[in-house]
Amino acid sequence: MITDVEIPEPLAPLPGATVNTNQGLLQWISSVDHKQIGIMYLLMTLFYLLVGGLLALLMRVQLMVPTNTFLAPDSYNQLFTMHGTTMIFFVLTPAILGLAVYMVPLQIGANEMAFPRLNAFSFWISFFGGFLLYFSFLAGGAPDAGWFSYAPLNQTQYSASPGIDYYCIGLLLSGIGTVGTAANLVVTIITLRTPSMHYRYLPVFVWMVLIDAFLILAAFPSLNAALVMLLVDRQLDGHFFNTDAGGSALLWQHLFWLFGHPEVYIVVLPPFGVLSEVFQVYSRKPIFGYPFVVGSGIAISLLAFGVWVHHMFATGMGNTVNSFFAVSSMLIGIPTGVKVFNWLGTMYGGSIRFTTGMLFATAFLVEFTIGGLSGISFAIVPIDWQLTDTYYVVAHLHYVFLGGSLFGLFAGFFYWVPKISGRLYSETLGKWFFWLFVIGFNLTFFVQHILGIIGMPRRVYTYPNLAGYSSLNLISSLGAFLMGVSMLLFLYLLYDTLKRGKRAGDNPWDGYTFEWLASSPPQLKNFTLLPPVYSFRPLHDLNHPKIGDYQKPDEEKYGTKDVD
Amino acid sequence: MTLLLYYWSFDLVSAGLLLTLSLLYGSISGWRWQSGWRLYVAGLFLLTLVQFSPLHRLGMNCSMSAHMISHMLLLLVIAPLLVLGLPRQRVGRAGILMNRMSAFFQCAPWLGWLIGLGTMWFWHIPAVYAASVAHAGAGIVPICTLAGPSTDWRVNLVHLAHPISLMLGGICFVWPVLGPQPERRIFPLTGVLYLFTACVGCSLLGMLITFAPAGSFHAYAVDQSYYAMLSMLPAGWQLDPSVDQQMAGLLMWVPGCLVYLTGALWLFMTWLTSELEVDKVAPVHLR
Repeated sequence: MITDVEIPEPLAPLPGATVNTNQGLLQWISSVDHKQIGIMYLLMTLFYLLVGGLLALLMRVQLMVPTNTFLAPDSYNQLFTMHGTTMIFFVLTPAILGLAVYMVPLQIGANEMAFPRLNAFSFWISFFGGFLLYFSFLAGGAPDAGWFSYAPLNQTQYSASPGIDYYCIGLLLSGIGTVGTAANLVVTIITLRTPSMHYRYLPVFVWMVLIDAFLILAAFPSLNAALVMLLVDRQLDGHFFNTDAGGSALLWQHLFWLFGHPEVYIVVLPPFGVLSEVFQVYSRKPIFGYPFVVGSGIAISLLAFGVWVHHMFATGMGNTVNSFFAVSSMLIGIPTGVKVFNWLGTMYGGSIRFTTGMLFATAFLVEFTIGGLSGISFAIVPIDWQLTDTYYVVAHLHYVFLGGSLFGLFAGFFYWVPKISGRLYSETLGKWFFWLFVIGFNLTFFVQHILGIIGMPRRVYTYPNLAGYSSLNLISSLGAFLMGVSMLLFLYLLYDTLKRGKRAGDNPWDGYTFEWLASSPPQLKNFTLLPPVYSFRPLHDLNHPKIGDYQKPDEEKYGTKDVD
Repeated sequence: MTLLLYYWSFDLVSAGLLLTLSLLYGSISGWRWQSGWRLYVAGLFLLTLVQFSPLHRLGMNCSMSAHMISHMLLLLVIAPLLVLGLPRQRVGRAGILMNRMSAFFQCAPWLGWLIGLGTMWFWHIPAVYAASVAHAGAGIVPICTLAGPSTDWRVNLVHLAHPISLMLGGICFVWPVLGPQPERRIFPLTGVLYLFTACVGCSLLGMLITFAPAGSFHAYAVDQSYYAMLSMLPAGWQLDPSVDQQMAGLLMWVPGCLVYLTGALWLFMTWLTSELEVDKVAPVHLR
């Protein structure tokens, strides 16, 4: 007879875990508990989301009317650079790490990450990396060469203020933290799964995090190396990227995009995993085609390293190079399309609950598809030449990063907030937030497609009063303010949930995975006993033994059975 | 003007190689067709094309990218097809040898990786590369000769070793992943990493060739090509040496890598959808 499995917890208490809670902040600072670190990651994300959003609002104020003088050109350069850098490195990346650090041990039936202290180290070094980056405002000027900091603009003769140096060190520190957490997640998932949780029964979110962690381990070293090289160039008169002295400006682009393109998938794969959980639970159906959802995740991550040159179509590498990468870039649309159909298939015929989380997931399908389609148009080289460095790019990347990653993260936030806080959020407030945010988002960025096509370049601090420019920019700015208002509503929702939210039970959504077996919020020791795992919905099997997946053959569990 | 399509060649060593491979199949299988023989025959057919078709001449005499296509076919297509097509029931001494090979690569799969990648890199060292293609000056036409485009036997030896080593390297490379004894293959998820790291190794070489200064690999004596192949090319093919070199590098970098990735994905999907032993255990739930 198979019995429940006892989950080991070290006999000696972990450092920090036994600190008395009335020590307040110290208890958090000294914590090595994966749940507390996960929450701190998410709070840091929220903080930088507000800061980065504020920078964006300042930019939109400047662009609201033509020939505006609200911001000087050099401050505008600093703002868009800091906005992009913050959102990529200090919002999206730590957000996915935070969710992963919180949820992965719970979903695989472990009580802690494999290396709890490395976990804390990784968080704090990322945290202080962000501080260092922002300190540049006080130290003589923030970085001003764009979030990808192209050579030769990143060299001292073009950017004399120390901003780029802070960019190098800040990103290097947070990059080290990211690599540390990724290694930690890989080891955790490989070694700490509850014994009967075969790889085939891993929740899709854990699969995506596992793939993602490998992607981080493969991609971030390229960025970290490039940052060190840039620092050598700037501080020690190195000549890596300095064309005057025989260096190569293109080398920076290669190194940066060798990291940068996989980074796009690094911040989108875990949201894909989140959405897979959200779609199946709120549709009351197992995910449609589990092997294809996981397999296409692997395909995306493997292809990610073979397409980065498409960011450089306009650098004059020749038609031969461009044609090859145009084809490979289009290929990556296939696994992404497979996933979209998997999610649609999950919703099809399901008994759907349109909670705020599910609304975000559904909106994701629309927005991310728009972003994907504009992305494919960039794979066509002549279109890329026409539209590169215009607002079309801005529209595309925001549809992918916001409409893709952030919507997925919001879906995950609303799905998991009852578990993390132990309280239910107000659906009314949630729906207000959702509609304001989605309308604001589309107002802001949809018109930017048109702006790009009629020729407005990105990264200019102002524009002349040309036909169409003024009205479209005004709409875009108003949309941005709507998003800003909706974020205030989000903060209120968060406050309302924590203060007045109704107690959530352990399993308010009738979830499928082990995090819903732990108490809400989980105690220091997540689990004492776990049931054996026979499918990728172990908790569903436990709670609904009559209709559980455990009695079905594999092909029915996975939805891969041929239908005659 | 003769069309490129008519430039078929023939040499005895390649014919001997094909014959050996066919006889090998016969002796292992006990002279019976076994399931999967179509894959083996497809491998032999492709090998025939690589050695005898106009692709061979093109690669030997004027185009690095044609040469690269034959490399990739040998290492990444023909070798896996031959290994996958090996008979399930093996008899005789060759069969035992094959089982020993499986046991060996079960212990040291990294060696297969190293041999595969090593062969690929070795043949792209510029000097080695130059030795493996045809040179001007020799006047013989290698039809019905022993082998090779030159009168110098050493050059011919390199020319012979080149396709055979690539094919053998490819066979060693895929053996741990696709070998004929499924129970001795490496764990599929390790296989995904095995193929991915190989893809990275291959991409690096591809990048090196793509971005190397034009002419680094240009060993062809274009102006005195004794087949005058360049004049045979359709007018639209702008086979400028630098474009040719770039294309060769890119072929290895992008489509070459796709072959590895397809393999990795295939491994993963077949593993994920295969039946699990534990499913047969009756579950007991406690609450």
